[in-house]
Amino acid sequence: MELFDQTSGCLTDEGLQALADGQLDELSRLEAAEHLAFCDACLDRYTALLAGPVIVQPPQDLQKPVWQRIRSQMFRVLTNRYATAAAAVAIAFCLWGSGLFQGLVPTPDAQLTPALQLQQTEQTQQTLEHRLAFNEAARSASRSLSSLFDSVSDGISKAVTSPRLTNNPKE
Amino acid sequence: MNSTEFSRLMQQYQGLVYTVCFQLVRDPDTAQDLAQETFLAAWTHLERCPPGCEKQWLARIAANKAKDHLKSAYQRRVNLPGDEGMPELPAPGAPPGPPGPEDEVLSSLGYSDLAALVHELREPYLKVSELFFLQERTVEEIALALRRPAKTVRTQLYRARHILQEQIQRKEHGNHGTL
Repeated sequence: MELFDQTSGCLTDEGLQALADGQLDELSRLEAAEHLAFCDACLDRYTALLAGPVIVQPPQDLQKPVWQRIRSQMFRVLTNRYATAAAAVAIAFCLWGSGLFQGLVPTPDAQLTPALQLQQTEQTQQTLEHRLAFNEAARSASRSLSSLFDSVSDGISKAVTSPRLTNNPKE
Repeated sequence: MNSTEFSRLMQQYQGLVYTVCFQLVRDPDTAQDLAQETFLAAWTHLERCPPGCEKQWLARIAANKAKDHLKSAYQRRVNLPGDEGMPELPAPGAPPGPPGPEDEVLSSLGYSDLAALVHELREPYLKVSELFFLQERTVEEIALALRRPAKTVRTQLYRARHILQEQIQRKEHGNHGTL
């Protein structure tokens, strides 16, 4: 039995029939699978053979396990996305609030007169107060984001595990 | 396609997908797993499904899943010490393989001897070998000429090289035996 036609390089009719009848060895099945993976003509001929009593139903219905896997995949994608975004925002707030970026702002290094020194001290005091207020705001925003993220995660988790939202019409 | 329509699609074609997987791997449990993976991949790439061709599209995904399984099973088996099966396949994207002892044996043959050996090969190895070993075309050129994926051409060339090597060894043993 020739699995492939030597001229066209396609699967022969008897080769396809042997595949359907389970008469091919492992290497031949691998070669057939490789060919069916790219050849439209052979795939059409093969699927035409798969009708009526030839079709074997799976031992267990595929709906439930497939939807479970789809839901867990979606959950992973969603949580990864939210977690990454929330972590990036929280880190940015914390770094800004800690004054890490203050060094990036240029300070005048000219010689200061006593009047200017007094004025700068007042400004420094004001800046310090502003920074303390900003730190508090940043911490508050960070806490809010964190609680928002927790509630979103809980919501997704409940939605995913809720039997009401299952897409399986049998359930 | 929404989730309800996808459920309907799954209901309609789960038998077909399982049958394709089972006919290729011949193991019910593996076929069940591969059928699940087929629908998972289908859901992930739903936008690629050509309208009206759901049956062929699903059968192709199933064939691809079965192919990947058979390939890795082959590799696992080949890597066992003392196994005389197929050689380990090259890594994806790699050329047919660096020159090794097999290539030295092949290159030591004259063109007519090599051509005679190549023409004894069966498909799917005959055409790729003619183009590669005799006409010295590149993998990309062969893929284009035969309308096969370059990755498949590489795999087929790798196996063809191994078959040619075995043929040479058989002939050498035959000659020694007759002396």
